[in-house]
Amino acid sequence: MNFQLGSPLLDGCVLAVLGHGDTYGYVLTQQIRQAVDISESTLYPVLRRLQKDGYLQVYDQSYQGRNRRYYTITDQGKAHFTAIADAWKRYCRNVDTIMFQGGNHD
Amino acid sequence: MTSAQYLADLRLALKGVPQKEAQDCIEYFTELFAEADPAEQESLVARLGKPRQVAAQLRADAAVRHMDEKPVSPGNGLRTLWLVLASIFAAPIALPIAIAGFAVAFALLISLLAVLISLFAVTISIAASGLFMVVVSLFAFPLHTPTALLFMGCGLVAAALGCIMTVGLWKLSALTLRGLSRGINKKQISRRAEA
Repeated sequence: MNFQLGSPLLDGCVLAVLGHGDTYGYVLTQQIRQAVDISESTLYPVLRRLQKDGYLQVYDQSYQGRNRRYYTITDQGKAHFTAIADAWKRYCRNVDTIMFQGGNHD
Repeated sequence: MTSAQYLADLRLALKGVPQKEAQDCIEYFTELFAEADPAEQESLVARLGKPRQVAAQLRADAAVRHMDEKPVSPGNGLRTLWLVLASIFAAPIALPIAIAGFAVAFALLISLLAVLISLFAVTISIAASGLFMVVVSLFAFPLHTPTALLFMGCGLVAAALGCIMTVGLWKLSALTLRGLSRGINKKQISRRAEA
């Protein structure tokens, strides 16, 4: 069963991973893929957009003769993540209330 | 499809996307393939889908961002002004060069056509002279039969050769012209895609 994943939720997942430390493209995408069914090619535009919007930054580090592009979250990104996480918590609570209790009965 | 094939396709699909944007995208996927386990490459490529879709998404994002931006920033205006000035100053040189280029291309085309037409003239005249020889040989029959037969044979051979060569030449020139026009079209299309 697949639930549709809107772009705010994807943004939240990416920023959440980066909130625990900088990481490079492959690890970042595989972490996200553990939670949601999404391909690396779909994630690329998401990363681009987050970078353009100033929520994350990139820097390059060489590894075994090739390049690894690391992603790091900005202060603006942290604030954005908090907003998304709060909204998600509220949304989850509301859906849970309907899904498991059939609505508010008090 | 291999990872190399995917990257090559992606490079093609990214035509028309701004240079820096396209470069970043190719680097991202190159890095991905380099990091992934060799045994996983195939499933990774399958998962990525078509390179065209990635390119389309980037293009759409760029277009949306473009709409959000102010129509003309002062820096842009200045650059446009410089571009206009530069092209005005370059015009005395660039214009004649462009005209010369077109003239050369036109001359090449005309000479190609001339060569083709003259080749046709040769093959058709071989066929025609062969036929003429056959007709002439008919008049020689009452005078000397072996001579008449020789003439007739030669005439028939010439006529057949001429016909074969004409048809061959026709096919060859059709192929050449079609290839030429296709090449010009492709160049125009790719130029339009870049613009």
